Amino acid sequence: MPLILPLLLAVVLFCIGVYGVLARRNVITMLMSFELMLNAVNLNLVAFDAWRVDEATGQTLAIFVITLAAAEIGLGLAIVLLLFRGHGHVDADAARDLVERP
Amino acid sequence: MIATVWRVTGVAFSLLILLFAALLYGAAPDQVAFLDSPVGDLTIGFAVRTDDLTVLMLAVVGVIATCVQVYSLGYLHQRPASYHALVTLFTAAMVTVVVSDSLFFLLIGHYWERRDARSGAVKAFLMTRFADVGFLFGIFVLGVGAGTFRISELDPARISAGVLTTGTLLLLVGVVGKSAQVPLQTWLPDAMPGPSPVSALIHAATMVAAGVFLIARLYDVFAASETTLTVLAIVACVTMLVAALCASAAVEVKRVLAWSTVSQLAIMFSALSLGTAEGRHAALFHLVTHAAFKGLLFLCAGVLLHQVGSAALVVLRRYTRRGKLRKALQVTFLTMTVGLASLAGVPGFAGFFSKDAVIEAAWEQAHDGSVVGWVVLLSVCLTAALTAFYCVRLWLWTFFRTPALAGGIGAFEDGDAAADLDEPDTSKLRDAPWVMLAPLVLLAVASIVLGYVDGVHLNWVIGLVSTALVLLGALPAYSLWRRGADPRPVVFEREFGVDPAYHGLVVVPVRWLAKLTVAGDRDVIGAYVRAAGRTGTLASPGFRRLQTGNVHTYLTAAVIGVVALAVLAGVIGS
Repeated sequence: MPLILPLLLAVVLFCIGVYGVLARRNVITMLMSFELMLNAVNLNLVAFDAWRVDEATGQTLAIFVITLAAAEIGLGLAIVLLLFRGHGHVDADAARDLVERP
Repeated sequence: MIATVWRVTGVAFSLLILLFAALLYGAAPDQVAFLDSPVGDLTIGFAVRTDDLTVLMLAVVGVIATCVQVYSLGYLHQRPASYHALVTLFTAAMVTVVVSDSLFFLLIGHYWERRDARSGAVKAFLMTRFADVGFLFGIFVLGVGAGTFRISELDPARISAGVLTTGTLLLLVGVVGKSAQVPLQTWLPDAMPGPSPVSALIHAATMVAAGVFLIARLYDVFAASETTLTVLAIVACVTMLVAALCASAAVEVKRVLAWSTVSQLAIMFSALSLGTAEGRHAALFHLVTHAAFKGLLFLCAGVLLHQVGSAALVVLRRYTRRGKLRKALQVTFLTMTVGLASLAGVPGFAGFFSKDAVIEAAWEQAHDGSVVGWVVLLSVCLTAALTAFYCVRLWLWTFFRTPALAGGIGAFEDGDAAADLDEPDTSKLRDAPWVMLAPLVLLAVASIVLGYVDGVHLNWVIGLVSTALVLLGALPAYSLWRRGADPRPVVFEREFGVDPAYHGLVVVPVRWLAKLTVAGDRDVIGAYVRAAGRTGTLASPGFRRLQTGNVHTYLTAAVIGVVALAVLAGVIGS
């Protein structure tokens, strides 16, 4: 398989992720978009690893990223849960408690 | 409790020094080196030596230290324990100097509670430190030139003439500072507000005599350098006259004694500057007798201070005018008379013999056609007359009513507004306790007997001449006192304006530089520091506005940043 195909797929996935993070107000959607971005990176890693053939560095890194993503999503969902309990909504734009008032 | 321990320690330590001196007396000269450490080609270490000079100095230090420690029991019974500890520490340092050579301590700083004492201590510290720099470099020059730092191995024949002269001249700077000779003479009189026993120990007997001791110890080296001896002779001759003139115009007992110490030290130096064995012997003889009678005089001044409350002649005159002082303080009066007679060189007292030894040594040199010998001879003779003048002046004005004034106000009281107003309470005026008087009596005996221990070899002509000089000095003092007059030339009273000159030449520029430094620190370096802080404070409202609390803003900024960086990397990389 040519290298360009998985890379193109990864770019598409990453751009969708960026769009989701920046455009969506629902925090859960934003977290899902983060996952998309991470997995785009994973795809890159695996594709380059398969392209270079000799070592398994990329695959190892991909495993690391998956582990980190799992931890991150656990933490993120916990924050979302707290946000919902405290404010009754999961709207990122409305949750502005950390604003610095002049 | 601690104070008691220190008192016992102090007295015991002084007695121990005396015991050592007695044990070492007559023993063969010996030296031991230890802790040698090679530094390059040189070896630096500690070395202890004992010879007749060491025994002599140990005896002097031991006797004076014992007297001072015993005297202090009565003088300073309410003082902190640190006083005795410091005196003992100083004595130990002095013993170290005597048995080897090393740096020593400064003690006047003890009287912190009195401002003039404090500034006097700072002055003494600065001046002796300045001298120590010269001293240190002198040690380096001589040590490197001779290849050894052991005094016993210094051989002037193996050092080149230039190195020898440079080294000894630098050492001379240290000696001049330590022994308060011209031009560093002003610190000693200004150190006088310190406690009198300390003055007796440091300023009379031991520390200031360390300079004389040093030259006597290194006499072969000094004698080998003609230039250094000439410089030493000039310094000594100028100092003895200047100090004697200052002493004749001072109006405080301790200040008179301080100036006379400077003058007498200069006599020792002049004897050393002759470069002969007789000169060295005469200088050491005078050192020993001077330690006895000047220690005695300082302790007497301490009794006056302790019993009357002041050693200023103005205050003492309030009592003397009513004929109280002499009768109330009889032992002090008698011992002080002995001390002053010895200082003035009255025939029969120790000072007479030692001063004659100096004059005789100078005469022998002058007889051989030496210019230095003549100069020394003339200045010592002149100083002898001046010494008699200020001794008699001090004695008469302190203890005797002036007949011409009939109990009225005399020359000293002119400036004293309280002179006739307050009748001093004389009912409580009595002599000091016996612990203070016993050292006085002991030293008074020493001030007579020490003149004879050397074996009396009197040159009758010189004896007669010096007696005539004493009379020559004493008679004007007596006649002035009889008339109730005390002319004090302004230039003598202001001590030749040396202090104002130093103030203008050294203190003012240093203060100015200090102000400049402070201004530079505050207005230049500090300005940068303050500006950095103020910039942060001013910029913070702007940065605060960026903190919107909206996650999307932050994320957008992050994405834009990453993209910008990637583009930048691409541009630079391509």
